[in-house]
Amino acid sequence: MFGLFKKKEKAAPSPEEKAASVFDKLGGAAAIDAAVDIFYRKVLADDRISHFFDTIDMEAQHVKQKAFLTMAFGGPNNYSGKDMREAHKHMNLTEEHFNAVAENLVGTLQELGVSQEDIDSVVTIAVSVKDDVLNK
Amino acid sequence: MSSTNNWLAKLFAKKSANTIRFADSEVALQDGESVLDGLLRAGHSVPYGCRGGSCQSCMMQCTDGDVPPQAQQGLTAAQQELGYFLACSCHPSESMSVALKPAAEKIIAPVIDKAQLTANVVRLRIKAPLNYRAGQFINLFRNGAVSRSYSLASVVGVDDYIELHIKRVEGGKLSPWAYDDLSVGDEVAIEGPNGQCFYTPGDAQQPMLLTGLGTGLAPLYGIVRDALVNHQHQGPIQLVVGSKHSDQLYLFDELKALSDNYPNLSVSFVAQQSTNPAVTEADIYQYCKELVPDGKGYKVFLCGAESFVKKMKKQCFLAGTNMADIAADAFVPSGS
Repeated sequence: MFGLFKKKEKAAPSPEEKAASVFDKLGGAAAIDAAVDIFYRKVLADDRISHFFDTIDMEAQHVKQKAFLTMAFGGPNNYSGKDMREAHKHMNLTEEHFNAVAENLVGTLQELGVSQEDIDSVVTIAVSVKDDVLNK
Repeated sequence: MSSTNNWLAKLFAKKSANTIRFADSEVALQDGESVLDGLLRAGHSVPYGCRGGSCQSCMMQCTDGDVPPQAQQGLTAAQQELGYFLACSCHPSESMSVALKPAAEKIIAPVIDKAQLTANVVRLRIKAPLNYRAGQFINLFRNGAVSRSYSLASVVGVDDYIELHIKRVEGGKLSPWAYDDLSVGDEVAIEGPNGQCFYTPGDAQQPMLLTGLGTGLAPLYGIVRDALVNHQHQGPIQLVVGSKHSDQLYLFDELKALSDNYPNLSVSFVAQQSTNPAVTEADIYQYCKELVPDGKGYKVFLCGAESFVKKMKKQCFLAGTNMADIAADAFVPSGS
Protein backbone atom coordinates (compact mmCIF):
# COMPACT_ATOMS: atom_id res chain seq x y z
CA MET A 1 0.00 0.00 0.00
CA PHE A 2 2.68 2.43 1.01
CA GLY A 3 4.44 1.38 -2.12
CA LEU A 4 1.99 3.52 -4.02
CA PHE A 5 3.29 6.59 -2.30
CA LYS A 6 6.90 5.56 -2.48
CA LYS A 7 9.13 8.57 -2.77
CA LYS A 8 10.91 9.03 -6.02
CA GLU A 9 14.46 7.69 -5.74
CA LYS A 10 16.89 10.50 -5.33
CA ALA A 11 19.07 10.61 -8.41
CA ALA A 12 22.76 10.02 -7.82
CA PRO A 13 24.64 13.33 -7.90
CA SER A 14 26.27 14.17 -11.21
CA PRO A 15 30.05 14.79 -11.41
CA GLU A 16 29.22 18.50 -11.62
CA GLU A 17 27.20 18.36 -8.42
CA LYS A 18 29.89 16.37 -6.65
CA ALA A 19 32.60 18.72 -7.86
CA ALA A 20 30.56 21.73 -6.76
CA SER A 21 30.92 20.42 -3.24
CA VAL A 22 34.70 20.42 -3.78
CA PHE A 23 34.52 24.10 -4.70
CA ASP A 24 32.73 24.81 -1.42
CA LYS A 25 34.91 22.45 0.62
CA LEU A 26 38.04 24.23 -0.61
CA GLY A 27 36.56 27.54 0.50
CA GLY A 28 35.05 28.98 -2.66
CA ALA A 29 36.54 31.53 -5.01
CA ALA A 30 39.02 32.91 -2.48
CA ALA A 31 40.64 29.51 -2.01
CA ILE A 32 40.94 28.90 -5.74
CA ASP A 33 43.76 31.45 -5.90
CA ALA A 34 45.91 29.33 -3.61
CA ALA A 35 45.06 26.20 -5.61
CA VAL A 36 45.98 27.93 -8.88
CA ASP A 37 49.39 28.91 -7.46
CA ILE A 38 50.15 25.32 -6.48
CA PHE A 39 48.84 23.91 -9.75
CA TYR A 40 50.61 26.42 -11.99
CA ARG A 41 53.89 25.99 -10.10
CA LYS A 42 53.69 22.23 -10.71
CA VAL A 43 52.95 22.75 -14.39
CA LEU A 44 55.91 25.12 -14.83
CA ALA A 45 58.22 22.69 -13.09
CA ASP A 46 57.10 19.75 -15.24
CA ASP A 47 59.65 19.11 -18.02
CA ARG A 48 57.04 17.38 -20.17
CA ILE A 49 55.01 20.57 -20.60
CA SER A 50 56.90 23.54 -19.12
CA HIS A 51 58.30 24.62 -22.51
CA PHE A 52 54.78 25.48 -23.68
CA PHE A 53 54.75 28.21 -21.06
CA ASP A 54 58.13 29.81 -21.83
CA THR A 55 56.87 32.80 -23.75
CA ILE A 56 53.43 33.38 -22.27
CA ASP A 57 52.28 36.19 -20.00
CA MET A 58 52.21 34.55 -16.58
CA GLU A 59 49.46 36.75 -15.18
CA ALA A 60 47.14 36.21 -18.11
CA GLN A 61 47.85 32.49 -17.89
CA HIS A 62 47.16 32.56 -14.16
CA VAL A 63 43.73 34.07 -14.81
CA LYS A 64 42.97 31.39 -17.40
CA GLN A 65 44.07 28.62 -15.07
CA LYS A 66 41.82 30.05 -12.43
CA ALA A 67 38.89 29.91 -14.83
CA PHE A 68 39.78 26.30 -15.66
CA LEU A 69 40.13 25.20 -12.01
CA THR A 70 36.91 27.00 -11.06
CA MET A 71 35.17 24.97 -13.74
CA ALA A 72 36.88 21.71 -12.72
CA PHE A 73 35.92 22.32 -9.09
CA GLY A 74 32.32 22.91 -10.10
CA GLY A 75 32.32 26.62 -9.28
CA PRO A 76 30.33 29.26 -11.17
CA ASN A 77 31.59 29.34 -14.73
CA ASN A 78 30.53 29.79 -18.28
CA TYR A 79 32.67 27.17 -19.98
CA SER A 80 31.87 26.67 -23.65
CA GLY A 81 34.96 24.85 -24.87
CA LYS A 82 35.43 27.35 -27.69
CA ASP A 83 38.24 29.30 -26.03
CA MET A 84 39.89 26.12 -24.82
CA ARG A 85 39.90 24.70 -28.33
CA GLU A 86 41.05 27.94 -29.94
CA ALA A 87 43.90 28.45 -27.46
CA HIS A 88 45.36 24.97 -27.87
CA LYS A 89 44.67 24.45 -31.56
CA HIS A 90 48.15 25.12 -32.92
CA MET A 91 50.15 23.53 -30.13
CA ASN A 92 50.24 19.95 -31.46
CA LEU A 93 49.36 18.55 -28.08
CA THR A 94 49.29 14.84 -27.41
CA GLU A 95 47.69 12.54 -24.88
CA GLU A 96 50.93 12.64 -22.89
CA HIS A 97 50.74 16.43 -22.49
CA PHE A 98 47.12 16.23 -21.38
CA ASN A 99 47.93 13.51 -18.87
CA ALA A 100 50.80 15.56 -17.47
CA VAL A 101 48.41 18.43 -16.73
CA ALA A 102 45.88 16.02 -15.23
CA GLU A 103 48.57 14.51 -12.97
CA ASN A 104 49.54 17.97 -11.78
CA LEU A 105 45.90 18.67 -11.03
CA VAL A 106 45.63 15.50 -8.96
CA GLY A 107 48.88 16.39 -7.16
CA THR A 108 47.48 19.82 -6.35
CA LEU A 109 44.30 18.37 -4.88
CA GLN A 110 46.27 15.85 -2.84
CA GLU A 111 48.42 18.64 -1.50
CA LEU A 112 45.26 20.50 -0.48
CA GLY A 113 44.01 17.43 1.39
CA VAL A 114 41.07 16.71 -0.90
CA SER A 115 39.62 13.19 -0.53
CA GLN A 116 40.13 10.59 -3.27
CA GLU A 117 36.40 10.51 -3.99
CA ASP A 118 36.33 14.27 -4.56
CA ILE A 119 39.51 14.11 -6.63
CA ASP A 120 37.77 11.57 -8.86
CA SER A 121 34.84 13.88 -9.54
CA VAL A 122 37.16 16.80 -10.33
CA VAL A 123 39.20 14.64 -12.68
CA THR A 124 36.01 13.49 -14.42
CA ILE A 125 35.20 17.10 -15.25
CA ALA A 126 38.77 17.92 -16.24
CA VAL A 127 38.87 14.95 -18.59
CA SER A 128 35.64 16.18 -20.21
CA VAL A 129 37.60 19.04 -21.82
CA LYS A 130 40.16 16.68 -23.34
CA ASP A 131 38.72 16.68 -26.86
CA ASP A 132 38.65 20.48 -26.86
CA VAL A 133 42.27 20.69 -25.74
CA LEU A 134 43.53 18.05 -28.17
CA ASN A 135 41.38 19.53 -30.94
CA LYS A 136 39.59 16.28 -31.67
CA MET B 1 -6.38 57.92 -4.86
CA SER B 2 -5.03 55.06 -6.85
CA SER B 3 -3.26 57.44 -9.19
CA THR B 4 -1.60 59.03 -6.16
CA ASN B 5 -0.48 55.60 -5.03
CA ASN B 6 0.83 54.93 -8.45
CA TRP B 7 2.72 58.16 -8.45
CA LEU B 8 4.15 57.43 -4.99
CA ALA B 9 5.19 53.95 -6.02
CA LYS B 10 6.96 55.29 -9.06
CA LEU B 11 8.70 57.93 -7.04
CA PHE B 12 9.74 55.40 -4.42
CA ALA B 13 10.96 52.93 -7.01
CA LYS B 14 13.04 55.61 -8.63
CA LYS B 15 14.63 56.58 -5.34
CA SER B 16 15.46 53.08 -4.17
CA ALA B 17 16.91 51.87 -7.47
CA ASN B 18 20.69 51.56 -7.60
CA THR B 19 21.82 53.94 -10.22
CA ILE B 20 25.02 53.29 -12.14
CA ARG B 21 26.59 56.41 -13.59
CA PHE B 22 28.67 55.59 -16.64
CA ALA B 23 29.92 57.64 -19.58
CA ASP B 24 27.69 60.69 -18.83
CA SER B 25 24.55 58.59 -18.50
CA GLU B 26 22.64 56.83 -15.74
CA VAL B 27 21.36 53.28 -15.65
CA ALA B 28 18.97 52.13 -12.94
CA LEU B 29 19.71 48.50 -12.07
CA GLN B 30 16.79 46.12 -12.04
CA ASP B 31 16.28 43.51 -9.34
CA GLY B 32 19.20 41.07 -9.16
CA GLU B 33 20.94 42.68 -12.10
CA SER B 34 24.72 43.03 -12.10
CA VAL B 35 26.45 46.24 -13.17
CA LEU B 36 27.55 44.45 -16.35
CA ASP B 37 24.04 43.27 -17.21
CA GLY B 38 22.58 46.70 -16.49
CA LEU B 39 25.08 48.50 -18.70
CA LEU B 40 24.65 46.00 -21.53
CA ARG B 41 20.87 46.24 -21.29
CA ALA B 42 21.15 50.01 -21.59
CA GLY B 43 23.11 49.53 -24.80
CA HIS B 44 26.58 50.37 -23.50
CA SER B 45 29.58 48.53 -24.85
CA VAL B 46 31.50 46.81 -22.06
CA PRO B 47 33.97 43.98 -22.69
CA TYR B 48 33.10 40.75 -20.89
CA GLY B 49 33.79 37.02 -21.01
CA CYS B 50 32.86 34.32 -18.49
CA ARG B 51 30.30 36.36 -16.47
CA GLY B 52 31.37 34.19 -13.55
CA GLY B 53 34.05 36.37 -11.95
CA SER B 54 36.96 34.39 -13.35
CA CYS B 55 38.18 35.77 -16.64
CA GLN B 56 38.39 39.41 -15.47
CA SER B 57 37.47 40.67 -18.94
CA CYS B 58 34.80 42.96 -17.49
CA MET B 59 37.11 44.74 -15.06
CA MET B 60 35.99 48.33 -14.50
CA GLN B 61 36.91 51.09 -12.12
CA CYS B 62 34.68 52.61 -9.48
CA THR B 63 35.14 56.39 -9.42
CA ASP B 64 32.53 57.12 -6.77
CA GLY B 65 30.64 54.94 -4.29
CA ASP B 66 31.39 51.64 -2.57
CA VAL B 67 32.38 48.40 -4.27
CA PRO B 68 30.80 45.24 -2.79
CA PRO B 69 33.63 42.88 -1.67
CA GLN B 70 32.47 39.97 -3.85
CA ALA B 71 33.04 42.14 -6.94
CA GLN B 72 36.76 42.31 -6.08
CA GLN B 73 37.24 38.59 -5.46
CA GLY B 74 40.55 37.48 -6.95
CA LEU B 75 41.86 40.96 -7.73
CA THR B 76 45.25 42.03 -6.44
CA ALA B 77 45.51 44.35 -3.46
CA ALA B 78 46.70 47.10 -5.82
CA GLN B 79 43.71 46.63 -8.13
CA GLN B 80 41.34 46.72 -5.16
CA GLU B 81 42.91 49.88 -3.87
CA LEU B 82 42.46 51.54 -7.25
CA GLY B 83 38.75 50.71 -7.08
CA TYR B 84 38.86 48.07 -9.82
CA PHE B 85 36.07 45.53 -9.76
CA LEU B 86 34.43 42.87 -11.91
CA ALA B 87 31.21 44.25 -13.37
CA CYS B 88 29.68 40.77 -13.79
CA SER B 89 29.95 40.07 -10.05
CA CYS B 90 28.95 43.51 -8.88
CA HIS B 91 25.54 43.85 -7.24
CA PRO B 92 25.82 47.15 -5.44
CA SER B 93 23.47 48.08 -2.61
CA GLU B 94 23.95 51.76 -3.39
CA SER B 95 24.61 53.90 -6.42
CA MET B 96 28.05 53.91 -8.02
CA SER B 97 29.94 55.84 -10.66
CA VAL B 98 31.96 53.55 -12.89
CA ALA B 99 34.41 53.90 -15.75
CA LEU B 100 36.04 51.57 -18.23
CA LYS B 101 39.49 53.01 -17.84
CA PRO B 102 41.02 55.12 -15.13
CA ALA B 103 40.36 58.72 -15.99
CA ALA B 104 43.67 60.27 -16.99
CA GLU B 105 44.63 63.63 -15.62
CA LYS B 106 46.71 65.99 -17.77
CA ILE B 107 48.86 68.55 -16.04
CA ILE B 108 51.22 71.28 -17.25
CA ALA B 109 54.04 71.83 -14.77
CA PRO B 110 57.55 73.31 -14.62
CA VAL B 111 60.84 71.41 -14.42
CA ILE B 112 62.46 72.55 -11.16
CA ASP B 113 65.62 70.45 -11.16
CA LYS B 114 67.75 68.47 -13.57
CA ALA B 115 70.77 66.40 -12.57
CA GLN B 116 73.03 63.80 -14.13
CA LEU B 117 72.70 60.32 -12.54
CA THR B 118 74.94 58.29 -14.88
CA ALA B 119 76.61 58.86 -18.24
CA ASN B 120 73.24 58.54 -19.99
CA VAL B 121 70.57 58.96 -17.32
CA VAL B 122 69.24 62.29 -16.02
CA ARG B 123 66.97 62.98 -13.10
CA LEU B 124 64.12 65.42 -13.71
CA ARG B 125 62.10 66.94 -10.94
CA ILE B 126 58.79 68.48 -11.95
CA LYS B 127 56.60 70.56 -9.68
CA ALA B 128 53.34 68.82 -10.50
CA PRO B 129 50.37 68.59 -8.13
CA LEU B 130 49.73 64.95 -8.96
CA ASN B 131 47.98 62.42 -6.77
CA TYR B 132 49.68 59.05 -7.27
CA ARG B 133 51.11 55.98 -5.59
CA ALA B 134 54.90 55.67 -5.52
CA GLY B 135 55.91 53.19 -8.23
CA GLN B 136 53.21 54.22 -10.71
CA PHE B 137 54.17 55.85 -14.00
CA ILE B 138 53.14 58.92 -15.98
CA ASN B 139 53.24 59.86 -19.64
CA LEU B 140 55.58 62.71 -20.44
CA PHE B 141 54.65 64.71 -23.56
CA ARG B 142 56.82 66.51 -26.06
CA ASN B 143 54.94 69.22 -28.00
CA GLY B 144 51.70 67.74 -26.72
CA ALA B 145 51.91 64.96 -29.30
CA VAL B 146 54.70 62.45 -28.65
CA SER B 147 54.61 60.82 -25.25
CA ARG B 148 56.58 58.18 -23.39
CA SER B 149 55.95 56.50 -20.05
CA TYR B 150 58.27 57.10 -17.11
CA SER B 151 58.07 55.64 -13.64
CA LEU B 152 57.79 57.93 -10.64
CA ALA B 153 60.76 57.76 -8.26
CA SER B 154 59.17 60.26 -5.90
CA VAL B 155 56.82 59.66 -2.99
CA VAL B 156 53.66 61.57 -2.05
CA GLY B 157 54.06 63.06 1.41
CA VAL B 158 57.85 62.91 1.21
CA ASP B 159 58.70 64.80 -1.99
CA ASP B 160 56.82 67.91 -3.09
CA TYR B 161 57.74 67.27 -6.73
CA ILE B 162 57.58 64.28 -9.04
CA GLU B 163 60.88 62.69 -10.00
CA LEU B 164 61.70 60.84 -13.23
CA HIS B 165 64.89 59.03 -14.23
CA ILE B 166 65.28 59.38 -17.98
CA LYS B 167 67.69 57.26 -19.95
CA ARG B 168 68.83 58.74 -23.25
CA VAL B 169 67.81 56.34 -26.02
CA GLU B 170 69.70 57.13 -29.23
CA GLY B 171 67.22 57.94 -32.01
CA GLY B 172 64.31 58.09 -29.57
CA LYS B 173 61.56 60.64 -30.10
CA LEU B 174 61.36 61.84 -26.55
CA SER B 175 64.35 60.95 -24.39
CA PRO B 176 67.09 62.81 -26.37
CA TRP B 177 64.90 65.94 -26.18
CA ALA B 178 64.33 65.52 -22.44
CA TYR B 179 67.99 64.69 -21.90
CA ASP B 180 69.61 67.37 -24.10
CA ASP B 181 67.13 70.22 -24.48
CA LEU B 182 64.79 70.32 -21.51
CA SER B 183 65.94 72.84 -18.89
CA VAL B 184 64.93 74.01 -15.45
CA GLY B 185 62.02 76.42 -15.80
CA ASP B 186 60.57 74.76 -18.91
CA GLU B 187 56.98 73.63 -18.68
CA VAL B 188 56.05 70.09 -19.65
CA ALA B 189 52.77 68.22 -20.01
CA ILE B 190 52.26 65.00 -18.10
CA GLU B 191 49.35 62.61 -17.90
CA GLY B 192 48.60 59.95 -15.36
CA PRO B 193 49.21 58.23 -13.09
CA ASN B 194 48.95 54.66 -14.38
CA GLY B 195 50.18 51.29 -13.22
CA GLN B 196 49.60 48.81 -10.44
CA CYS B 197 53.12 48.30 -9.18
CA PHE B 198 53.02 49.99 -5.77
CA TYR B 199 53.10 49.20 -2.07
CA THR B 200 49.78 48.22 -0.53
CA PRO B 201 49.61 48.43 3.25
CA GLY B 202 48.47 45.20 4.81
CA ASP B 203 51.00 43.02 6.55
CA ALA B 204 53.74 45.32 7.90
CA GLN B 205 55.83 42.28 8.82
CA GLN B 206 55.84 40.68 5.39
CA PRO B 207 59.34 40.17 3.96
CA MET B 208 59.87 41.99 0.69
CA LEU B 209 62.17 41.62 -2.30
CA LEU B 210 62.49 44.56 -4.70
CA THR B 211 64.68 44.06 -7.71
CA GLY B 212 65.26 45.97 -10.90
CA LEU B 213 67.64 46.67 -13.73
CA GLY B 214 69.02 50.09 -14.65
CA THR B 215 66.37 52.80 -14.36
CA GLY B 216 64.09 50.11 -12.94
CA LEU B 217 65.50 51.57 -9.74
CA ALA B 218 63.26 54.65 -10.20
CA PRO B 219 59.94 53.04 -9.21
CA LEU B 220 61.66 50.82 -6.64
CA TYR B 221 63.21 53.88 -4.97
CA GLY B 222 59.70 55.29 -4.66
CA ILE B 223 58.11 52.05 -3.47
CA VAL B 224 60.75 51.30 -0.84
CA ARG B 225 60.50 54.79 0.66
CA ASP B 226 56.71 54.68 0.55
CA ALA B 227 56.83 51.39 2.50
CA LEU B 228 59.38 52.61 5.04
CA VAL B 229 58.51 56.28 5.51
CA ASN B 230 54.76 56.46 4.87
CA HIS B 231 53.74 52.99 6.04
CA GLN B 232 56.39 52.06 8.64
CA HIS B 233 56.97 48.67 7.07
CA GLN B 234 58.69 46.48 9.67
CA GLY B 235 59.51 43.26 7.80
CA PRO B 236 62.91 42.71 6.18
CA ILE B 237 63.29 44.42 2.79
CA GLN B 238 65.88 43.36 0.22
CA LEU B 239 66.52 45.83 -2.57
CA VAL B 240 68.69 44.47 -5.40
CA VAL B 241 69.65 46.73 -8.31
CA GLY B 242 71.52 45.37 -11.30
CA SER B 243 73.09 46.39 -14.59
CA LYS B 244 75.58 45.20 -17.17
CA HIS B 245 78.34 47.49 -15.90
CA SER B 246 78.72 49.07 -12.48
CA ASP B 247 78.96 52.57 -13.98
CA GLN B 248 75.30 52.28 -15.04
CA LEU B 249 74.19 52.20 -11.40
CA TYR B 250 73.30 55.24 -9.29
CA LEU B 251 71.76 56.51 -6.02
CA PHE B 252 74.57 54.91 -3.98
CA ASP B 253 74.62 57.66 -1.33
CA GLU B 254 70.85 58.01 -1.09
CA LEU B 255 70.32 54.27 -0.59
CA LYS B 256 73.21 54.04 1.88
CA ALA B 257 71.59 56.81 3.95
CA LEU B 258 68.19 55.10 3.72
CA SER B 259 69.48 51.72 4.88
CA ASP B 260 71.40 53.42 7.72
CA ASN B 261 68.13 54.96 8.86
CA TYR B 262 66.06 51.81 8.43
CA PRO B 263 67.90 48.69 9.67
CA ASN B 264 65.28 46.38 8.10
CA LEU B 265 66.39 47.56 4.64
CA SER B 266 69.40 46.04 2.95
CA VAL B 267 70.53 47.20 -0.46
CA SER B 268 72.68 45.29 -2.96
CA PHE B 269 74.19 46.58 -6.18
CA VAL B 270 75.17 43.89 -8.67
CA ALA B 271 76.62 44.08 -12.18
CA GLN B 272 77.97 41.60 -14.69
CA GLN B 273 81.14 43.71 -14.78
CA SER B 274 82.17 45.83 -11.84
CA THR B 275 84.89 48.43 -11.36
CA ASN B 276 83.24 49.78 -8.22
CA PRO B 277 83.93 48.14 -4.83
CA ALA B 278 80.34 48.92 -3.78
CA VAL B 279 79.01 46.77 -6.63
CA THR B 280 79.15 42.97 -6.51
CA GLU B 281 80.06 41.20 -9.72
CA ALA B 282 77.25 38.68 -10.11
CA ASP B 283 74.38 37.42 -12.20
CA ILE B 284 71.29 39.12 -10.75
CA TYR B 285 69.09 36.00 -11.08
CA GLN B 286 71.61 33.83 -9.24
CA TYR B 287 72.18 36.58 -6.70
CA CYS B 288 68.46 36.85 -5.88
CA LYS B 289 68.11 33.08 -5.78
CA GLU B 290 70.81 32.85 -3.12
CA LEU B 291 69.53 35.91 -1.25
CA VAL B 292 65.97 34.58 -1.07
CA PRO B 293 66.09 30.80 -1.59
CA ASP B 294 62.54 30.38 -0.26
CA GLY B 295 60.17 33.03 -1.58
CA LYS B 296 57.15 31.78 0.34
CA GLY B 297 55.29 34.62 2.02
CA TYR B 298 57.30 37.30 0.22
CA LYS B 299 55.97 40.41 -1.46
CA VAL B 300 57.99 40.96 -4.64
CA PHE B 301 58.41 44.06 -6.82
CA LEU B 302 60.10 43.74 -10.23
CA CYS B 303 60.97 46.66 -12.50
CA GLY B 304 63.04 46.84 -15.65
CA ALA B 305 63.25 45.46 -19.16
CA GLU B 306 60.46 43.06 -20.12
CA SER B 307 62.77 40.05 -20.49
CA PHE B 308 64.13 40.63 -17.00
CA VAL B 309 60.70 41.00 -15.44
CA LYS B 310 59.43 37.87 -17.17
CA LYS B 311 62.34 35.70 -16.14
CA MET B 312 62.47 37.01 -12.58
CA LYS B 313 58.72 36.64 -12.15
CA LYS B 314 58.94 32.98 -13.06
CA GLN B 315 61.93 32.47 -10.79
CA CYS B 316 60.18 34.10 -7.80
CA PHE B 317 56.95 32.21 -8.43
CA LEU B 318 58.78 28.88 -8.62
CA ALA B 319 60.64 29.82 -5.42
CA GLY B 320 57.27 29.88 -3.66
CA THR B 321 55.96 33.44 -3.90
CA ASN B 322 52.22 33.74 -4.54
CA MET B 323 51.35 35.15 -7.94
CA ALA B 324 49.15 37.78 -6.27
CA ASP B 325 52.19 38.94 -4.26
CA ILE B 326 54.35 39.65 -7.31
CA ALA B 327 53.97 43.21 -8.61
CA ALA B 328 55.82 44.04 -11.77
CA ASP B 329 56.41 46.93 -14.10
CA ALA B 330 58.01 45.95 -17.39
CA PHE B 331 59.64 48.72 -19.41
CA VAL B 332 58.57 48.18 -22.98
CA PRO B 333 60.42 49.97 -25.79
CA SER B 334 58.18 52.17 -27.92
CA GLY B 335 57.23 51.01 -31.38
CA SER B 336 57.32 54.39 -33.07
